[in-house]
Amino acid sequence: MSRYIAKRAIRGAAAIVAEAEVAVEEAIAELGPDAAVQFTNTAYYLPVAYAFTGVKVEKLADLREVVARARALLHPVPGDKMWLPYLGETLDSGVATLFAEEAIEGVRFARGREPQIIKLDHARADGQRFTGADLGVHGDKMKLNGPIDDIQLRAWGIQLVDGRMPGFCAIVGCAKSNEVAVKIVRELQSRGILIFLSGNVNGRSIIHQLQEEGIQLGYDTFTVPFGIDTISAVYALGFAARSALTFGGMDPGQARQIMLYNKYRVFAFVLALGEVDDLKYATAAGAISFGFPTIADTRIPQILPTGVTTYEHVVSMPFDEIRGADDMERAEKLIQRCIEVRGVKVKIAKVPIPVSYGSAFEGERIRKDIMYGEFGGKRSRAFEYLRMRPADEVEDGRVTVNGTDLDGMEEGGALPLGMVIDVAGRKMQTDFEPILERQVHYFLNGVEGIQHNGQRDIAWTRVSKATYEKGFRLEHFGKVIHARVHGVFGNMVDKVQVHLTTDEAEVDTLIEQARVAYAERNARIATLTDESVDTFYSCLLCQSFAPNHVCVVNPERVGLCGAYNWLDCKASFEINPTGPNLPVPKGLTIDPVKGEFSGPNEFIYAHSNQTVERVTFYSIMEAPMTSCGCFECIMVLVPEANGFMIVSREDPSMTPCGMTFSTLAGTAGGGMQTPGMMGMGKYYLTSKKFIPADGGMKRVVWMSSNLRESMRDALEEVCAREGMPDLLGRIADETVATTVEELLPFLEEKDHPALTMDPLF
Amino acid sequence: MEQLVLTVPSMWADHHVVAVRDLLRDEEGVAIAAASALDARVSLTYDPSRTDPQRIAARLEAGGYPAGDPAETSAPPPNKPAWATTASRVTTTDPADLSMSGDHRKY
Repeated sequence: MSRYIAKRAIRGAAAIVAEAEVAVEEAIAELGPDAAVQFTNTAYYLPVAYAFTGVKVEKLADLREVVARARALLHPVPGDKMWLPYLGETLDSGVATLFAEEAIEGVRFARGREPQIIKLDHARADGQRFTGADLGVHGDKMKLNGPIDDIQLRAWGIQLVDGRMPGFCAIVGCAKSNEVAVKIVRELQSRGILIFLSGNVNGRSIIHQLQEEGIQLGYDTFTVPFGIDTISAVYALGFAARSALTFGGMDPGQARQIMLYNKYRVFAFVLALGEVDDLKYATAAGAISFGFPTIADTRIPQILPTGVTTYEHVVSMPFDEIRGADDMERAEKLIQRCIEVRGVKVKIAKVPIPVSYGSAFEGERIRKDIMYGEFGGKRSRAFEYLRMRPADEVEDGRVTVNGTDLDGMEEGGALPLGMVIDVAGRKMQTDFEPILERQVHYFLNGVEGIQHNGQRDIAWTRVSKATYEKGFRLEHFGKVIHARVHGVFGNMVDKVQVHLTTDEAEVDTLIEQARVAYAERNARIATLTDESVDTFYSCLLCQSFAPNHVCVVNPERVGLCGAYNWLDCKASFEINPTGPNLPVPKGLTIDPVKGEFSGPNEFIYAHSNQTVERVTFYSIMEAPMTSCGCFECIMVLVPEANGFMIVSREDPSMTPCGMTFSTLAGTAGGGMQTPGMMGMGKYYLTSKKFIPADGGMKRVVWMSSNLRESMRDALEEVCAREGMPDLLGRIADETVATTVEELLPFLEEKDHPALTMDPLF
Repeated sequence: MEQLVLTVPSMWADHHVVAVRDLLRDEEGVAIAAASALDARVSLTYDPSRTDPQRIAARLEAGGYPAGDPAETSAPPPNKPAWATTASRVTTTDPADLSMSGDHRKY
């Protein structure tokens, strides 16, 4: 906490409360205590005061209680030598400021001085008309909007709280220049962020600047001029408070809940342009109480630790010190930083390409006769490389193309293609790089007339003639990826930029860098073990039909369905923290051999409707994991052979236990815990943690032939690791045994190790 | 033209800057260069043949903005804060706050 900020905010609060007291009493003396106080078209009185205290202000005399409440929240200014905690005092002062500002606005309404009518000292001669109702330029004067009315609150508020609108930005002050002001507003508008304008510096407001540049202001353009002083910034917080009352189901007086609701549901921030005076600090403290951080384009003290806000509270980004080629680039970076600080998630409603986009195109095949050109495959090289970068090295939405574009290639030709995707985000981790990179396949296949195969350095993409003729070019690959990464991974990724190159030399250079990263990722996955992590992840997706089933995914054991590995689950949790993949702390190790841990036991008991008390991960014979119904294979005890058989979902044949896969699935599935029977993902067979407590791979006496053939190389590696390279040949399948009577002679003939291992029970 | 810098302690926020500029807008021979709420200071130029510093200061004082030494415009409560006298300050963490902390959105 900055003592400087605390001092300024507390001092500013005391001053504005004193002003409010004077303003209210003078107004009562002049207009009478019963003079009406009414904000524009609202049923929420003075919304911040009403939301926080339940006080309904309808006439001037009612303002006395609001001001009295504000005064009760004031605190002494922190001394220069006495160091005490003053965060709480600063936040109290912030709320006092908001009450006082609303009271002053109430007086202004009673006097007919709101919405403000300002003189356009610097207005252009031709003036600009405005689209908002009753909002516009009249001669050398301009009527501003004042507070948002309830009709507009309903239209925008629901979008804000359900995520369709990314957030709002309350701009206070004046930008460095008119051009910068326009750029800031355009950057925010392009992201669908609502903009509220207020405040001034040296008498000049960003409202003047935008007016001079002919920028349309009003509800239609999501850019609302509240007033040219900081007092009118309270309308932004009134809007936020009303959102909580209207859409959050809060009651007036639930101050804490209303503030928390805003912190978690309304992604707003304050952008202070120009010098920050005491009232701006005090108002910012009020905004921080809502969880809204402040970013200043001047040098001020910062409050960087998280707490009341999700990330930093106050960030200073002196405009002229922002790295950039010119002021336009600095303005872009300023807005990007604002978005990072508040954690605003940008939504791109439509993929900006000249052809259709949707999952309907995913299976499309582009044959040679309709193909315009291709990248990768037999005739050229192509690769895709997604990497995490520091936030300041990624410019969101930037797409660059180097080398020959589709225009320059011959019809039916081939070019090399390198695609380097840089992403940045507070929740992004290098472990997620391959997960996001893998999605490029799905993202590009959604484009009409594009066929994409492979990944990494075996990518292969074809573009149809029709798609080329509609104007599709290489940059559109980048735009698709930018839009879709934001759409799918918005929770963890804040910025995406894409570089595409068809230049041979650059492809050669970049592909080597990519290959180094691929090799590192492979090594990283190989080192991920159950022992190297302290958290497993659940998968509760199948509880819709198997209510007691809890899948726990470990680094060395994929989910039963084979679709989710540990990293997938971890990423899924970051994307959707309340989704099916939740962290399961390992807790205490109860049995390291059978793989029993206190954390998973507690989690599974709590999430299986208190039906499953314990689970071991490394044994099928004692408390095995429950099975849903989606498992790729089922493993079943064959008592006569002292081992297990593994039946693949694709295998319709009879098995030695007298049941087919479907009968077995019906027996063990549905969320039951059945010792001796367990569903599993087929790649669990290759894990070092494949039932080690029961003997591992050497216990497998029978396996569906399609499973063995489809995984032969990987399984042979496992057998070699187990010290028995020819083990795979000793395992029976449906071609040699569909009964126990046929199985046992085969095993004896092959001298299968299970026959001489310790009894399973 | 002469330059003049006046400290105006009561010009502590930007609505006062607007008011001060409005006060001096019509003052003959005066042009404001800068009015800063952060420094509570007005920098201006004036034509000594048409006005003088005393007249400018008088105009400001008549409008409620006397020039003078920087001082606290409004003294905050000098004694103990409100929570210390009402004994209403919460000193334990509300479990509901804890449950709503972190990245898990509860709404």
